[in-house]
Amino acid sequence: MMLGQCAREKDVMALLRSGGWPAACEPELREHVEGCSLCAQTVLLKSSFADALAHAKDEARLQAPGMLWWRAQLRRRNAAVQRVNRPIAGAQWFALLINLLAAVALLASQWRHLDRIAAWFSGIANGPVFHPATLWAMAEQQPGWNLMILIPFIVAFVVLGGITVYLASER
Amino acid sequence: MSRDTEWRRVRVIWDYSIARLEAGIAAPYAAQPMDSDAFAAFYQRSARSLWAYLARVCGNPALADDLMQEAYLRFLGVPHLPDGEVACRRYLFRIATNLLRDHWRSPRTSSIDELPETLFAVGSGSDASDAQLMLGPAMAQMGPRDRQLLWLAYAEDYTHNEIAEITGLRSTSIRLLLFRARRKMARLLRNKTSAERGCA
Repeated sequence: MMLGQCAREKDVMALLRSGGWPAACEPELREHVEGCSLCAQTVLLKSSFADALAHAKDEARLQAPGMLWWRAQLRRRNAAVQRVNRPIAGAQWFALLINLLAAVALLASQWRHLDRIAAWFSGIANGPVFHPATLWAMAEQQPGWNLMILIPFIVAFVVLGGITVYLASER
Repeated sequence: MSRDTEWRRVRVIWDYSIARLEAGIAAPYAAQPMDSDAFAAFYQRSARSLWAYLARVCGNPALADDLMQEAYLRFLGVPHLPDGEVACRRYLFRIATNLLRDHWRSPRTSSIDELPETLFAVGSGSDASDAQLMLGPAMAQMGPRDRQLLWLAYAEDYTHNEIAEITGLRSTSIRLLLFRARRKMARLLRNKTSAERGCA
């Protein structure tokens, strides 16, 4: 005999599962159960748990299966979108890394000429073209210049605004 | 296969996936294993048993509601379900068992051992059966694993091998653990019965 098992336990369990205990039980088996602690345990536990199961089933609050189905579909779809987006995000990070490396390589290669580049930039900044007052005066003298200043500003505003709205909606 | 052909194949799959995603259809590699009607029928047959298992093992009906919902959602997310309703049902119980384990392991939630005994005790209303009134307090004195094993064995009638599959324990361990658990449970139930008789 194995640990915690009686040879008649299967018969007792079969009767309990079919609902035949104790009415349909043979007197010989009933006598055995009264004398066998393992089979008595089985009867006690099985009948207690069967009653508890029946009672708990009545208590159960079920949802509509259609709602669960819909939520599962939504979850699957989100997971699929994430799976598709993962390589795109990876490519974006890769592109950013390449750009940074290129910038670093460019700076390293131009390091010796940095003072000349700085002087060139300061020359442009101090020149008359980038002073707003000078630009405004030129625009007043020539009517076509008003549009030349206004249109790039509007275009830049629209492009940057569009990008901002797109990024905000993505988030 | 040449590189050009391979690239064209990848391009076709990619375009197809994007088109399906835009149309609101899941990608082909995530084919739905069970249709809506089949799921509704399976749910009607299995939900009450699953809720009973979760509620009696965790002792908290609200938590059982949440865990049952999550178990079905995960079940529907499985790409390849086992064949047959019996195997699907066993798989569902396995998911629920894992969810219970995750819940107990989670540091934010209270351990099952810390739950008050009143959670397991049923109301003393007339609808509560005698066996239920006895089983609730006895279950509260058992460990969470013992509760799982006893419920699966004596309420759901699972064999040792099936319990091993559901709980992730070895079949040989189940035999020993169940033997100890049922001995303790029987003692608690007998004590409760004799105490009630003594009071009467």
